[in-house]
Amino acid sequence: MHLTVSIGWVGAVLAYLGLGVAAVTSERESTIRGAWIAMELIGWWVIVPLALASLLTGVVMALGTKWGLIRYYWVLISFVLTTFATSILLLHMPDVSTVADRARAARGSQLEGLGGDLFHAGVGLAVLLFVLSLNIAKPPGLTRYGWRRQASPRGS
Amino acid sequence: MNDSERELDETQNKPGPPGMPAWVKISAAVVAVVVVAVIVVLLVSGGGGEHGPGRHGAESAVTTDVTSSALSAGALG
Repeated sequence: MHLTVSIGWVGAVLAYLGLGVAAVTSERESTIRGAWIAMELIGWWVIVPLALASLLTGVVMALGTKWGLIRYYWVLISFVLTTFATSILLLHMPDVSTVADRARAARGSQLEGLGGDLFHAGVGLAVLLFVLSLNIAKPPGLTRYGWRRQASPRGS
Repeated sequence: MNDSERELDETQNKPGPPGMPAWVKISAAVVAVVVVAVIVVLLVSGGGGEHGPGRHGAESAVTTDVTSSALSAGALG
């Protein structure tokens, strides 16, 4: 479940990024307008639900397994980055809706000035791929808390 | 011996808690450099002011139209 929504999140961001590139490079008004409308829809209806699901399933999995949430650096960093990315996404989406609304009414050069939101999508994708690589590699490294838990007789 | 057992074995042989792994330090250093670079680029290219999707995507000229309606400058997104 966690793997599915996490990879789905990456795929949805790739689709968003593709639309953003189309919005920046296209000279056709209908394409730019359509791209922004699609970016808003994908953002709210696909990326946001997948991000929240990824965060939730990640926390549940961490707490329900030997890995814990703050015992290993790779889990802790994954959790922090996922929380950060989700927070930025939720803060950013209203801006996307604002621009999409402008795209619906804009004409000519106004549309070309809307850009493609490539920065946020690009950085977000980089963060997600980094987290994904941590989840696959599971690099060693106990936190101080994890070390104390394992050193104690009752630790697990 | 799996990773978990190896780590447990290490905790029993070492007097104190383990230090931060090298990969964490290297990753943090890379992220810090990238963040500083982005901040410098934003400042050099006329950063400041309000924040919005069009700011990064559209190169200069018409971004005023977009950013003027962006949400508060305090929002990171």
